[in-house]
Amino acid sequence: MRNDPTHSWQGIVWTFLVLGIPVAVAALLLAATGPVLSRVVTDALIKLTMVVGLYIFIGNSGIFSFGHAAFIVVGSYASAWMTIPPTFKKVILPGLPAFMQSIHLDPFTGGLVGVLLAVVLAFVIGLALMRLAGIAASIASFAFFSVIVVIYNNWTGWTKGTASLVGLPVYAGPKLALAAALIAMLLALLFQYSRYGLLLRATREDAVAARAAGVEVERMRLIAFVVSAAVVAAGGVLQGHFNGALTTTANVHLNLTFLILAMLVVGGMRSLAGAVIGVAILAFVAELLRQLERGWQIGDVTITAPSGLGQVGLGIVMLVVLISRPQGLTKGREIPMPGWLSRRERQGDANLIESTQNAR
Amino acid sequence: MNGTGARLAAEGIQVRFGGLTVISGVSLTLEKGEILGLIGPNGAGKTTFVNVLSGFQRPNAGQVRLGAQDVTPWKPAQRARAGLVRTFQAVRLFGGLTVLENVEIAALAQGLPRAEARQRAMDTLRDLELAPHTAAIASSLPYGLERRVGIARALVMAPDFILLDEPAAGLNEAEGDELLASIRAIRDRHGCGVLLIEHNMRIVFGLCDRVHVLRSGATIAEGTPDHVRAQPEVRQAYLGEGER
Ligand SMILES: Nc1ncnc2c1ncn2[C@@H]1O[C@H](COP(=O)(O)OP(=O)(O)O)[C@@H](O)[C@H]1O
Ligand SMILES: [Mg+2]
Repeated sequence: MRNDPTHSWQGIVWTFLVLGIPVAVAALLLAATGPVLSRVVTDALIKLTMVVGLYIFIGNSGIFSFGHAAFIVVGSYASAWMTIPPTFKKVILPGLPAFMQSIHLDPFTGGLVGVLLAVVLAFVIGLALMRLAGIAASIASFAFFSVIVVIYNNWTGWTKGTASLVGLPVYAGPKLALAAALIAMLLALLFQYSRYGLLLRATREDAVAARAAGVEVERMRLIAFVVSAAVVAAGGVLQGHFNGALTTTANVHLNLTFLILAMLVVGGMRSLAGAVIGVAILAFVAELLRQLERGWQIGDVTITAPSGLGQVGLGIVMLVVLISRPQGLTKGREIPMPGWLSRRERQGDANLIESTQNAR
Repeated sequence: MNGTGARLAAEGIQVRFGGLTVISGVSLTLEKGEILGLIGPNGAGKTTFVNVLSGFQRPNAGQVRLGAQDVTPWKPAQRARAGLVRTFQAVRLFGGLTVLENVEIAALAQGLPRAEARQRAMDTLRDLELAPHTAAIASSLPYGLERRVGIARALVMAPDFILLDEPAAGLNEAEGDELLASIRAIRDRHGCGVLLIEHNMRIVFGLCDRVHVLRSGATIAEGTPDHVRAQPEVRQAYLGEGER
């Protein structure tokens, strides 16, 4: 027997509240303490948005994607092109075509353009990618990511290449990031609950049997891939407008890929609870290690960890969790609904069986 | 019912794996409402033939027709939705999902609305006496129940033709008899055509309207049970091996 609350709409509401309320309360309280923690919280919430987006695809399809950071790149640069003020754009991106230089959209529309571009790209790439499964799909997704990063790295006229593209309006703060994360979570739950979510999980369990049951395997994967790309790209757009600058240099997106995958895997990649818990834990660990790298004053002694400890530390945490709990901390389960709430639902199932018996 | 036609026909099917010819020029037809036994020794090509009918194996030559339609180029999912449904020798349930979800998924894939799909899944599960197990995780089921869920998942699609690949394999005699009796009941109630691969000759000859015998990928006999039983080739090639 299983207590999976996401089976009913009551359970969807429950799961959303039981994860969303702690996230919201913790985020708002921490952000209120001052600018330092406010930045940490905003960054974590943006990561949460990305990880939830990743979860929509990986959790339901069972296919590991190493390519989703490409949608972060595509979404954030497009939003930058749309929203950097034209006078400034002419100076920092002289190679940009005139019509692009003159565009100036408000942040929301600009972000939407970024997300839409990612959606189109996900659809086109997905048409080919979703025919693959297992390790072949994972490797192909990574190849796709590499291609995108190399293009953006060398497309100097539009992206400034390995230099930083600055001048993005900085509008993303903790509240907006919280709203984005909550919307992403709700979307993930609705997808999970939808017929597409269920059919996709069937393909995850056994693609051959799913085909035999009439499921269009590639189509289900493609739908999830596109939805997931949209959410991840939205996270990318926010990140751009949180930092105010973009770059493709020094493996930033490779490291980001590793970080968001680690967050998903540590929490448990088959439940939304896993995504949320993974982000919370790794964001905390990453912040701790960052402080250490910067130096920690204890009395007269300053302890400074060697740089690079952040990456190493994350890797170690991931290894420890995966060795002790291969399914992640949540073992891929959602938070169970308490009995007094779920009784009603079970009653509903019983009624269904009874009514069919009476119908005979 | 999906109404795609009253007959499933395969003509001149040939399948080769590398240099090995596994099916050589086999034809058969399955009418709606009929139970056709497909028998033959292990390795005769029965599963491969079901793979061809259901679209999982493209034949090197030959045609599969559903009613008037040539479905040879169709993908498995498309055939399933058109009323040509199969089960697997190895069952292949959606292990991490519940019994109800396993069956509901097949109903949803037919394009039914959520509520209707769930209701139909419940009905089918109850028909197969699986109602007490709806909330169980499929991978936790004992073997006999697992097999029945596999059949429920096929039946919920309201197939015109259902291809059962050794549905009683691994069951004890009582369980097997029960399962096969329910196959007859299914045929009587739904009027679908059943292709049954089964090793127990007592059951095959008792249950089937017609029997088709394969050996090394070729047809060696076909017809009514009495006719097939009387063929010297069948006695020698198959029945002679000892009844299993
Ligand atoms: N994918 C494959 N590649 C190569 N040979 C295969 C493949 N599938 C089946 N065969 C061979 O085809 C023959 C028929 O197999 P199968 O259809 O499973 O027989 P049956 O179901 O009658 O026991 C066997 O000799 C088997 O080894
Ligand atoms: Mg076989």
